[in-house]
Formats: sequence, structure tokens, C-alpha cells
Amino acid sequence: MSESSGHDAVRDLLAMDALDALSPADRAALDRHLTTCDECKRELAALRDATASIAAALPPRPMAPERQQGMRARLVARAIEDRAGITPIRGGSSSPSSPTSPPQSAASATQSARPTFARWLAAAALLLAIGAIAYDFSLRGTIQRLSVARAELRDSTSALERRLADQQAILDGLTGPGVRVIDASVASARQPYARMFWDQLTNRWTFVAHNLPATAPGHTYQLWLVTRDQKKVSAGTFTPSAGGFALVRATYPLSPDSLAAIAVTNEPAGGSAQPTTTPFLVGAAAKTD
Amino acid sequence: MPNDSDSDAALVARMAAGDEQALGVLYDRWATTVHTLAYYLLGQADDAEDAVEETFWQAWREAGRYDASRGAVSTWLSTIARSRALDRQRARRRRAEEPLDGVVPSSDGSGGIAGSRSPAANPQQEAEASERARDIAAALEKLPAEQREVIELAYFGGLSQSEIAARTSLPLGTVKTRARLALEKLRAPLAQHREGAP
Repeated sequence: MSESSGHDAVRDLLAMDALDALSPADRAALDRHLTTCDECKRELAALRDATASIAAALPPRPMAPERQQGMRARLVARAIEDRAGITPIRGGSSSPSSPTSPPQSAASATQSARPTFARWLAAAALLLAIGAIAYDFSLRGTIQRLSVARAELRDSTSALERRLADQQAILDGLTGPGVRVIDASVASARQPYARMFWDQLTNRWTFVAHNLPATAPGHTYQLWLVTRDQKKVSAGTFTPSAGGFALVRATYPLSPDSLAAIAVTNEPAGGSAQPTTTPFLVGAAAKTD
Repeated sequence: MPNDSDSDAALVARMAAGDEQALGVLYDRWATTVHTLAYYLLGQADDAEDAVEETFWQAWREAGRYDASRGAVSTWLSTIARSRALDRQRARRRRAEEPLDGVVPSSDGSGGIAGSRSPAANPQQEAEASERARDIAAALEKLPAEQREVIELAYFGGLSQSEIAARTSLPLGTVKTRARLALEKLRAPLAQHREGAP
């Protein structure tokens, strides 16, 4: 295979490798080529950067600040533990010898005078050292197991806390002191109906619907907030469950008197910038006093 | 722009030497990017946060293996994050026997994203999946639809080249070529950015 045909053959493989989608056989072939081709190595690095740029093009989804800081603290604490764990407690290769080896000059001085006693002393020290090493290994194993158990417990606690916070947020959106309720329904055999809970203190919206018919393939429902000046603000798209249930949550600031109605339309999948069909469900908002 | 001693590569070198404060600084700098990627791959905040923590922990443990010639630190972190997220996605798929159609976006960008849908997914998750599909389509909007589909399936769906060929009914060679053309298009703005940098 000539150099140029080699490049031709691997050029497509570079892209698939950057996407981590190569087959093992192709990967092996590419790895062989890369050992001798700096140009392709550079090309692969550039394609990997291009692949990583996809993440940068996505709309940012930051964690909640307190969760992000909590995770940072956990990571740094684990790193400190980890660093302490990998630092040899007694110095890997030197630990067995140090307790057993008296200073060289002392050993030389006593060896000829009391050889038997010195051997017994050395044997006893060796036994002590072996015991210490075994204890050390056992202790490290215990610490490692406890660390793993603690990390698992921490993960489990974090997951439960997140779920609890999520449930609490839903509950707050339904029962908060500033919540207004807007009903929407249609008269039909299945009687779909929906209720919007608008927490005016936090600008959180919780939409709950029942008995919704399934959407056609390639279509989705879209929820709208209709203002008194006829502005239609999308509160998200959704697809009901098999039983016709839907729950949508959104956050959008709106002054208390500016809502005229909520509406649900049937839109092409992905949603529309503005409603393109007649609303399927409409609920008028009563004026606040 | 960080100075040399505070550059990403310098932080990773300090991490390799056991400096946990460097891990904290790197985390502050890249946590949102990593979380964004994990969120779009997994579609669930809980899973995404776990993937973020795993990513930075792996970065700490493997900092000594970072090789700048293989890409920037951000690329290295993205690769780890994607790998950890896809592991979770596949595990979830195995547990739920999630059908493939619910795991990757459809070619028109309307489907669920990256494991976000399962037979038991609730309407809120469905709605969020649609929103993510829109965002991903927007991020890749410069690509022709047929190239975008390949990138979506590989990058967000974690499918291998053979799985993509099977799913799209395209010859394997076509799949590879479309992936290359797509990445070359995505690469062009990066090259321009670097040329324009001081």
C-alpha cells in the first residue's frame, strides 16, 4: 500500500474513530497506520476537537448552583482522600527492610560477637515486619471498601435528595400561596380536561392533563400561554402517556393580569414558533381583582 | 483567558501531581459544558449529574495519562463525559429493554434523544426530549440532513458504524464518508477561530 492510498483508506476511519464508532478491526488497522503517520495523528486530533465542539454548540444546561458547589466539594474531598491513599504509608519497598535492618555499622559490630542472638533478633524483626505489612494491607483493604461503600451511599443519598426536591417542586407549584388555577376542557366522548397551576410568586407553571388522545406520528401537542394582547408564548411540547396523561412544567414570568388563556394545539414534531392549528384545548383565565 | 500556569493543560499536570485544588479549578471551568453534554445524552438530570461526577473523578485518576497531542483538555473531558454517559445510557437500555427507536433522535430531529424515552417515560420526559431534539438539530443545523443523521446516531445515540449502517440501510462506506464530511464541516469554524486568534 502506497503512502497516499494508505491515507485515502484511513481518512474515513479517522472520522469514525473521532466519533468512537469504529469496529475493533478498523480500529486495529487505524492504530497500525497511526504509529507511522504523524499527519493522520494531527488530523485525528483536529477531528476529535471538531467532535467535542458539538457539545459546545448545545444550549448550556448548568446544574443548580448549590448542587454544582456540592459536587465540587465532594470531588475535592475524594481527591484528598485518594491522594492520601496512594501515598505509601511506610514507603513501599523500604518498609519491609527498615524494621529488619539495623544500622549497617551496628550490624557489623555485633555480627561476629553474637551471631546466634543477631539471627534470632533478625528473625523476630522479620516476623514483626511481615505482620505489620499484612496488617497494613488489611487496613488499606478495609479503608478502600469503606470508601466505596461511602461513595455508594453518597450517590444514593444524592439521588434521593434530587427526587425529593423534584417532587417538592411539583407540590409547591400546585399548592403555593400564589397559585392560580386555570381549567381547560372540551366536550367530547373522552372528555379530555386539563388544569394549569400558575405559581405567581415564582412564575412556575404546572400543567396537568387527562384523557388526551394520542397524537398522530410526527406530531406533538404544544402548550401556549395566551396574553391579553394576543401574544402566544410556547410553554413546551409534550406527548401524552398511553393512558392520556400529561404533565408539563415551565418557568415564565408574566404579570398577574396579562394572561388571557391557556391553549393546547397539535403541531408538527419539535413544535412551532406560533400555533399552526386551531387549539384543541382552551382555558380562559379569569381576571384577578 | 487563563495564563500558562493556569491553563487547562497545566491544571491537568497539577492534578497528575496530586494537587486537588487544580481539580477544583478545572471543574469550575468545565462543569457546565460537561453537564450540558451529559444532559443531552441522557435526558435526565439525575443521571447527568452522576455522569458529571464520574467524569471529573476519572479525569483526576487518569490525569497522568492525558496526552495533549491527542486533543485539547476540553476534548479529553468531552470524550470521558460522553463515554460515561453512554455507559449509563446502555445500562438503562438493557434494564428497560428500551427499543432502539426510543434511544436516538429521528432524522428529522423530532424523536427522543439518547435514552430519554422508554416505554414508561412520563409526559414531562417526552416533552423535554422533544425540546432537546430541537436544540440538537439547531446545534447541527449547518449540516445536510443526511450527514446530521449519521452524527446524531453516532454522537448522541452511541451507535457503532455497523449499527448506523443497519439503522439507516446505508452501505458502511457511505456512513463513514458522511461522518467524515460532517466532521470536516464542523471543523471549519474551529480552524477559522484558531486562525483568527491572536
